[in-house]
Order: sequence, then structure tokens, then C-alpha cells
Amino acid sequence: MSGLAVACRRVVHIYRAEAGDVVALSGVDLSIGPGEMLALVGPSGSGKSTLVALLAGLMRPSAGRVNVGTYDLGKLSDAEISRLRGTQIGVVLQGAARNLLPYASLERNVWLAQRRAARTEGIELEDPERILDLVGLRGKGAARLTDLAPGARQRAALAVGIAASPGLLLVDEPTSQLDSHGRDEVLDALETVNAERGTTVVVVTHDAEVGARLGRAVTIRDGRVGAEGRGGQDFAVVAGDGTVQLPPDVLGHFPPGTLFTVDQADGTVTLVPGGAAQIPESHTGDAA
Amino acid sequence: MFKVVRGALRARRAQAATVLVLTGLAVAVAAAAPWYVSAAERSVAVADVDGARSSELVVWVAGRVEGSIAAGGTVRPGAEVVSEVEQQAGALVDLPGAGTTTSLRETGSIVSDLGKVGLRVVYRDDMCEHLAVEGSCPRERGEVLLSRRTAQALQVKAGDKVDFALSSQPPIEFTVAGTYQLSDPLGPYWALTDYGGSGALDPSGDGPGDPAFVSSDTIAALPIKEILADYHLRIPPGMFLDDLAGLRAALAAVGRDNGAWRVSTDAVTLAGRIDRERDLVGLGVGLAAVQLLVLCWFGLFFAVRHTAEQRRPDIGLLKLRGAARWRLWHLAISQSAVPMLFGAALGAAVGLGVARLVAGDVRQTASAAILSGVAALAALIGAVLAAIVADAGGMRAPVGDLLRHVPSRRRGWRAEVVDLLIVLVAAGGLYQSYATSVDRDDTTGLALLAPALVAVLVALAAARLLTPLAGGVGKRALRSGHVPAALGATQLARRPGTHRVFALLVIAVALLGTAVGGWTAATDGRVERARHELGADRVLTVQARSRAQLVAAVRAADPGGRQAMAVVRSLNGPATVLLAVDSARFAAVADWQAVYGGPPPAALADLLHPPAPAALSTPDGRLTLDVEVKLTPAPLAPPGADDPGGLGGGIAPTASDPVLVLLHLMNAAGDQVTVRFGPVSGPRASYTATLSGCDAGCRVLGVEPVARNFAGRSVVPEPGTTVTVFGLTGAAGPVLPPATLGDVSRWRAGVGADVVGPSLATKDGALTITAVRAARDPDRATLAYVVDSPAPLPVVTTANARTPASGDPRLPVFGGDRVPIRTVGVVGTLPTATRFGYLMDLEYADRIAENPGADDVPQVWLTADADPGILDRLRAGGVTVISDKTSAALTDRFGREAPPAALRFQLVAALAGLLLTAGAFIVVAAVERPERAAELAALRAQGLAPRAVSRVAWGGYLGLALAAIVLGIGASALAQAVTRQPIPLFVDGWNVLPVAVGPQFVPLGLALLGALLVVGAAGAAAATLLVRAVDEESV
Repeated sequence: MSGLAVACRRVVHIYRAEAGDVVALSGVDLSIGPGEMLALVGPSGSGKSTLVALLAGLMRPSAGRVNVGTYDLGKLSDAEISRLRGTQIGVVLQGAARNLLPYASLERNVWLAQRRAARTEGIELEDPERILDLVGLRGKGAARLTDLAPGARQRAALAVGIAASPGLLLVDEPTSQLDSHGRDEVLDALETVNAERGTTVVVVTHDAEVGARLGRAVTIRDGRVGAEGRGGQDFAVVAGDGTVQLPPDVLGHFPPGTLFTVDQADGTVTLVPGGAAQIPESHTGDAA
Repeated sequence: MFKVVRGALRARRAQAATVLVLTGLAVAVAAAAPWYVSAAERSVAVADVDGARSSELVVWVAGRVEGSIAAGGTVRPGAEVVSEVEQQAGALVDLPGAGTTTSLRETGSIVSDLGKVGLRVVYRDDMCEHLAVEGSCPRERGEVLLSRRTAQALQVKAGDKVDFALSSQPPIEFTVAGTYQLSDPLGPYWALTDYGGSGALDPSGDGPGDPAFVSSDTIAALPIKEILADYHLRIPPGMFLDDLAGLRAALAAVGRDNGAWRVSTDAVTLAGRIDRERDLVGLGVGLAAVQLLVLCWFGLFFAVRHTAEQRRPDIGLLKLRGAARWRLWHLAISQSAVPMLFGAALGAAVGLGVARLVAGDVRQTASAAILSGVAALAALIGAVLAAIVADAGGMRAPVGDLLRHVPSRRRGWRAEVVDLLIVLVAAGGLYQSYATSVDRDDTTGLALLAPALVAVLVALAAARLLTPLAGGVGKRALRSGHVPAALGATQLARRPGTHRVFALLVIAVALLGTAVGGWTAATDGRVERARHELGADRVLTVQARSRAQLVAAVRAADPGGRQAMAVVRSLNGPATVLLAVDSARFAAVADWQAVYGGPPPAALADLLHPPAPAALSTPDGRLTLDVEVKLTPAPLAPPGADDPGGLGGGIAPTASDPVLVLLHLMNAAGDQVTVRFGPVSGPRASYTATLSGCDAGCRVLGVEPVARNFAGRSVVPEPGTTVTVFGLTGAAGPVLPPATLGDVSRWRAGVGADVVGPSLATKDGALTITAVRAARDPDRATLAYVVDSPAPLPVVTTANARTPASGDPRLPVFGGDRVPIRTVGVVGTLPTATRFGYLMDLEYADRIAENPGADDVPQVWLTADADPGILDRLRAGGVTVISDKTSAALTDRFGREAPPAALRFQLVAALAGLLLTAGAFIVVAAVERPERAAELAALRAQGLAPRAVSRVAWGGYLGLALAAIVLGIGASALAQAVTRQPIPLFVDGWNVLPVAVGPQFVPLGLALLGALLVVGAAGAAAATLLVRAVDEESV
């Protein structure tokens, strides 16, 4: 299956709790092209995992729209979402062990993950052994999770995620707790999958290097898309409501409540703090 | 998928094994119950038939056939009459395989020179095979076989002639062919007849005399219009066991108008009893099985629900991959269903095996096996359903929840509603059972369920309180710095499902308490009843020549007087027992139970046997009687000493018949010996006679002046006939010395209620006996008895014994004439008594009883340590043992009835239930162990002492187990206090001895011990394993 496009429009998600509601996403706008590889980065609690859970259909957005391919996930029933996860959206949870039945072999785990797709017309499934080969686990079909090294475990989890040849692969923290060798193995596997199948890959990570290697890294901050890095360059992003988040290092110079005047000339936007006595000269900056 | 399931089962083998064992237990009980009921139904019926009275195994058809002087009748051959009876009576009742006996009878009197006895002459098929005959069996017309007792009373022997007197017919002369004693008086041959010794059941039976046996030809030739006929059928025991419906159909003629024939039997009573026993077994076992099944299902539900916690991530994973619903169920349920299937197969085999081992084989193996199979299948289906319900929560949960490591602890409203419903149903059921228990005979399911309902109420209430209570204790302990206690209590409060397992444990312990209580009460009840019904540890029913011989033989067999006692038991109606005992031995031999109350047995013996004048006796030899006979005007009332002629108004005699003076004696064997003096007449003179048959000595009973009637038989002389005895001398000296003859307190008239006379007076060392007039001539008597026993007879009565509305209290001692009694002591009840009872001294009763009946049952009571040689010595003394019962054997027979069968199953079921809940407890602990171990290991890493970890673990699990045990025992005690014994101790409702009510501490202690062993061990195991897991985690 070729890659699926993803589009999030002003996505809001609020966790209801007895102690009070928590806003996890407060208007995310994000577009991912088919076959694109993207990293979602950001600090803990910024909303990365929530966004992935919404993309996987594990939760419904409180507001806004999430589209995967031609599907508006908010309008699908539980059964349709379930079918979608069984055929078109692969999910790899954080922690390899959470993705596999510990008492079943790798081959059986992959086989189980293919069952929904196997009953769906028009999907050609690859042999589990071939899938394991794709992630670098050739000949390990009979092994169980506990028989593998940490890096191999993560690739095994990846194999389960791509078992049904999904158009979108969502991977949560695939490289955490791995050494650089293990990390490279995992990223190699992801790139192979993307290259060979054209699968759209979304990876949640804390690791900036992972983001850099995937080519596009979207930073989620305070429940919004805060910035985006492409080709080694960082960009601020204008959200659907016209807001722009300043980079944290810039923002650190301006306490909350700081007033700016916005000047625009020759395609350059200049933010000028409201009073010279209040704001030192050196703290003035530009936003583009 | 199979491989995946196999992998899962291997990985979680402990949980799978627990589910296997729990299901095996449930299915074993379910499979065992129908087989057990089938087998027990038969074995209780066998026990019933074994313990049945002979009259319950016999059908009696009574009627009449034509006699020789009926209109147009002739003297027919006896065999023809017998055949007619067989045809007519046999047509009314058709019992295939039944043995039959035909009897013919007629009532009259046998008269000899010295006496007259009212009795029946009887022909009965094969009678001589059931009689011990001295002489020959009567085969010819005119031959008669008399009982040894009758022959003795008439003082005739084989070859002598007697007359058979029928009203309005001239006497018919019979020849005495011999004498008999019944060889098997309690056997079925004599059942439902009034010929044998098993009790006269024919209310129309007249006269206490033993029957005289004759040939059928003799009866057929009697000058009577109708011959009374009896036709007895002995029911084959198999009909009671296997064909009660067929038996009932065959007995349809009972109570119906069958013209000249009347059908009666107690078999219907036995059939009803068997039905009740079977119902009780079915109900008792069924309810115990259902209780255990429900407990098993709940236990399985909790066990599966806890193991389901481990399956939640698996289910979440499959859901994440969009797996189909059926695949989710397949993975989840297979992990329970596969061990359940294996457990069921194992359980069914074990259940059937154990049931077969305990209850034995059944007759209809196929149907019992099918029923067992169906029950086992139902149990398995219930188990699988419980597993489905337990796993259903996981199936409904969102993927996110399932994938989260910690499950939601939120308690749904459904659980609250289920709890409320259970409480309401239990409370309603308890009230209903309490309300219906007013009717003591009501053995409905509700009454049986009451203890379980109490247990459910207590358990749920306690379980509800457990969480907040543990939370409170935890907070307080934390504030006061008791970290282990705080941790233990807090974890108890926060552990999911703890309170449910706790409730289950409480219920299981309570049910064990109830089952042990029922079992011990029934066991004690059976022992007490057996002891009571026999009266001594071992009781021989015997035949003796006489009561005197019985006493003498027993005293000779046990000269020490501590191991054996002669007893004669008789009935006065169905509810009153008369017990005549050799009172000097009573305290040592009788099994006196404290519950009887009243004075101690030794004191009773003294009360029953006050001092009395010594008996007068004389050996064989020549006797000389110094006597004077006068004819005076007949007194209307006994004259005073100064008025030997009686009060005015008498009439002078018109004629004087020859007067004889009879001296009545009794030899050591209890045979009566009579010496005849005279004819005596006129002034004082000496008369001699020779006494024989007394050997060393006969006890003098009394002196009786008699006259002769036209036929030469002895009759009471004319009123006014006065005989004065001045002395009786034997070879060894005076037999009746003047001091005795002159002491009016040493003489008495007969004690019979209707006896009139004689008038007795003493003066100057002489006894004057005067025949008096009476309204009814047959009431007149002239026998003057020597007083050598107290009159009235001292008796000890049960507290409820009734006193007569008017007149002196009297009792038909030994089933004969009623003798006056005097109550000297009152007790709660007496050995062998049912409702009313009287205890008396056998020797005194025998001395005072006149015309004793034939319904007494001579017995020898033995102590447990009686010398085995006593039996041989008894036989040597002329006593024949016809039955030998021990209280242990009787206890054993009661043990084969329905209540013990049901209680046995209840006990096994309760133990199984306890094991099961302990298993569920272990599963819960095992499932939560990794998580708890990680928590405690983390605390240990932060500085919590290893000892504190141990205390948290032990306090959490063993504390929970102990609390459940204490509450369970409390619930059981409460159930015993507020409900009656759920299963009756005896199916016949026997309640002569009071049953202990309220909480019974010994059985509760036993149940406590069992619960400590099982549940305590489970708690200890859980705690130990947790401590070990924490140690491993901390390394």
C-alpha cells in the first residue's frame, strides 16, 4: 500500500479528570504528505503522544479534524477505526514489549497482526518471514521477545507495526533506551520500510538527531505546533489561527506580558518591545 | 491461534492450573451428586427395609369363610377351606414373588381340671416350622398344641385331655399333642398376627392367652357358622427398593371395601418413609451441590477475573491491530476454557469415582451416569459462563485503557446493584425460611438454605465494611508511625477485588461451620438415640420359661451383678413403655443418660425395691394343712375380725358343694405348682397332700378354697363359704407359721380391678378366708395371696405420665390385668421410652401381676464390658437368645439412613468449597504479586526494613484470612442461633431426647480448625511467596 496523507486542522484534545480538565492539544495544524517521514519532537507533556493517539484513532479529538488518507477519523465508528488500524494504520507503542505477545514467536506475532488485513479484499500481504527480513530480523521467526537484544526487540515491534502493510506507520519513541548502534538499526529499518513501501512514517521522539535524520521534525510545544525543522533549518510555523510561537531561546528574554510593536518592511517582520527603558536594546529580535 | 493459546497457557501455567482445579472441583461435585443420590436412595431404602418392623413387610388380608354349621354347610376337609381362603384373599392383593401364609382361627376357652384359659385355636401353614415343639405337631383332628405357658397354667401335659369350650356349644374334647414356644417370635412369619410375640396388632383379639395350634381339619370341623381366616403376604424386599410404584398399586385394596375381606398393612408406612428418605437425600445433596456449584462459579469468576487482568494488555494489543471480536474472545476465553475442559474431564472422573467409592454402585448405571454427565456439563457451562462474564469487562474496555499498565479502579454501579440484589434475595429467603420453620416437619429447600443465606448476608456486610475499615486503620497507623500496619491496611483497602474474595472466604468458612455442626449433631443424635432405644450397650431379646426363670438365669450368669440385668419390656398402647428391671443391677447395667434427669439410677433402684416381707417357701414332700370349713350367711362386704358372719343382710346357704383348698406355689423355674387338699369339710381337721416339682423349694403364692362344678372343674365356692387355716406344715417344719397366718398385713386379696373378695380376717394365729357375693359372679375370687412384695407396685414414671381421672392408678403390667401402682419417683424420660414410660422392679411386678399377658418382651441387658461367656451361661440357664442388638450396630443402622447420607455429602461439599475459595484466594494473591512485590521492593530500596516488608505481607494476607475465618465462624454461630437444624436428625421425626440448640462450640471449634488449616495455609503461602518475590525483586 502506498503512503497515506495526514491532515490535522485545529485539533484540540482535553483530558477529563476529577482534579480538573487538562488541555493536551490546543489547536494543532499539521499536514503530512503521502510517503513522507516525519518526527514529532518536543518536551514531555507537550502533546506528542496524544497527537499520535489521535492519528491512530485510539482517542477522538475534542475539537478539530483529523484526516488520514480520505478518512475523517472523527466521523468513523469504533468498528471502522478498528478496521482502519487493522489494515491502513500501523501503530508501534513505546516500549517494544508492549507490542508483542510475550508467549508467541515473532512469526506468530506478525501473523496475528495481519489477520484483519488478511480478511480484507485488495490487500496483498507479505509473508511474515519477509517482513522480519525487512526489519533486519531474518531467521528470527521462531524467537520470542525475550530471546532478542534491545535493538532487535524494537525492530520486532516495528515488524508487527508494518505487518499489515499500512499506509501510515505511527511509532512512539522507537529509539529510547537504545545505544547508538541500536538506534541506527531501528532508523535504518524505518527508512527501508519507507523506501520500499512508500509508507508514511510518523515517529514520536525526544531525540533531535532522529528528527534530523528523518528530514522533517515538527516540534510540539504546549499542545501546538511550535516549530518545524527541515533540511537542518528550523522554522517557526504560522498556525491556522494566525499565531506564531517564538523559539524558546528567544522567548526566554521576554517575560509574559511583554508588549511589542510589529514592523514590516521588505518582507521582514520586526518585533519591537513596547518601551526602551523596560526592554534593553540587546533584547530586541526579529521573527520571520 | 492454537499455538498462541498454548503459549499463553504455558506462560501462565499457575493460573491455568488453578482454573483447572477449581473447575475440576465444581464438576466433580456436580457429577458426584446425581450418582450419590441414586446410590444413597437405594442404600437408605435398604437400611429402611433392614430396620423395618415385621409388620411393615407383610400384608394381612382378614375375612371369613363358611363354617361347618353354616346354612347348607358340611364338615369339609381343612385343605379345602385353606384353598378357598387362598383363592378369595389372594385375588385382592397381587404381589409377585411374595410368600403367603394362610391361617384359620376360632376363639374359645381351653378348660382342664385345674384351670381355664381363654384363647384362640389356630391353624397356620407351616406353623410347626416356626415353633419349638415338645411333643408332636398336631396333624390329626382333635389334637391341640398348647403354649408352654398355657399348659403350665392348665397344668396339663402331652397326652392329657382338655375341653375346648365355644359359647352355646357343648365342650369339644381335644388331646394335648405337646407344648410349644415360638422359635422366631420377631420374625416376619408372625408379623401382623396376634399369635406371635411381636405384639398383638389385632384390636379385636380377645383374651391374653397364647394361641393353641390345631390342624386345619380340626378348625374345619368346629361347630361354627363362619371360620375366621387370615392370609398373610410377605412382601419381597426388592419391591421396596426398586418398585415402590408397583407396590403401591398392588396395595390399592388397603382401606377399600372388599366385602368380607379386610386388607391391612404397615407397608404403606414403610413406603412413605422410604419416599421421605429419598426426598431428603435428593434435597439435602442437591442443595449442598448447588451451594457448592454457586460458590465454585463465584470462585471461578473471581479467579478468571483476576487472571483476566494479565490478559488485558494482550486483548489491547489485538484490539490495536484491529483484530476481529471473535479472535479477542478466542484468545481470552481459551485461556480459561481449555483448563476448564481438562478440569471438567478430570473432575467428572474423580467425582464419579469418589461417589461410587462412598455410596456404592447404583442399579440403573446408565441413567445415573447420564444424569451425572448432564450435571457435570451444566457445571462446566456455568464455569465457562462465569469466565465469559469475568472477561467481558476487558472486551468492552477501550484500547487505551487496556494498554495502560494499571487498570481503572473505578467501581461500576452494576456491582452495587448486584450486591444489593443478593442482599435483598438473601434477606427475603432468610425471613421465608424463618417463617416456614414454625412447622417442624417442614423440610423445604428454604429451611436448608437458611444458614447459607445468613452466611451471605454476614459476608457481604463484612466485605462492604472491610475496605473503609482497612482504609481508616491504615490512616491511623500512618499517623501513629506504624509503617507496616499502615502499608498492610492501605493495600488491603486499595487492592481491587479483595473484598469479594474476602466475602467468598467468609461464606465458605460459614458453610463449613454449618456442615460440621449438622454432622456432629447428627452423629451425637444417632449415638444418643441408639443408646436410648436399646437402654444398654447390648440388648438380647430372649425367650425364657418365665420371668422368674429369666431373673434367676441372668443372676446365675452374672453373679457379680454388674454386667447383666434381666428386663421385661412391654407396651401399654403405642406410646407407653413399661420397663420391669432387676433393680439391684439397674444402676450398673442400664445406659442411663444425664438428659433423663430425676434421681440417679442407684437411688431409683432403692425406690423401686423397698423392703418387703420375705417370701415363704417349702421343699417337696408331704404337707399337712390344719383347716376348718364353715358355711356362713354370705357377706355383702368384707366382715370385720369380730364379725366373722359378716354384716347383717346375708343369706344362708342352701346347699354346700365339696370344698377343696388349693395351695399355690411357684418353683424356681417360674412354673406354677398347685397342691390340692381335701375335699375339706366341717370342723378343724388336718389334711395332707404331697408336693412335688419344687425340688429345693417353692415360693408360696397363696391359699385358695375352691368348689367343684358339675363337670368336676374348679370354681369359686358359694358365697359365705368360710375356710380358716390354722397351719400348714411341711417335712422341714411350719410352712405357714401362726405368726404369719395371724398377721393380716401378710395377706391380701387379688389386686385385679374387678376382683371381688375374698374377705380375709386373722385371729389368734389363724387366717379366715370367706367367699363373698359380687354383682358379677365371674368377678368373685377366693385366692388369698401371701404378701411378699409391695402393693401397690412402686413405679418411677416419666414426667408427662398421665394420672387417671378417677380411682387408683393402675397399669397392665406385662400386658395382663391392670395392677395398682404407686409413683415413687419422676424422671424426664426413661430408657427405651417414646412418650410415656414406667419403670418398676421386675421381681415385685412379677409377684403382683395376676394373669399376666403374652405381650411382654423378655430381654437381657448387658454392659459393654460384659463377659462373652455370659451368653453361654444364659443358654445353660434355659434362656434362648432370639435377637442380639448393640447400640453400636443400631448407631450404624441409623448412619445408613437419609440424613447422614445428605449430611455426609454436605460436609464433603463444604470442604470442597473451602478448598476452592482458598484456591481463588491464592490466585488473587498470585496475580497481584508482581505488582505488589515491585511496590514493596521500591519501598525497601528507599529504606523500609526487610522485617517491615514481612509484616506487611503477613498482615495483609494472613490477617485477611484470619478475619475471614473469624467472621465465617461467627456467621455459622449466628445461623445456628437463629435457624433450626436444617436437616432433621432422623427422617421419622424422632425427638424423644432434646436436641442441643444454639451455637455448638465443639463443632464450631472443629470447623475453625479446618478453616485455619486450609484458609490459614493459603494466607501463609501467599504471604511467604510475596516476601520471597520482594527479596528477588530487591536483589
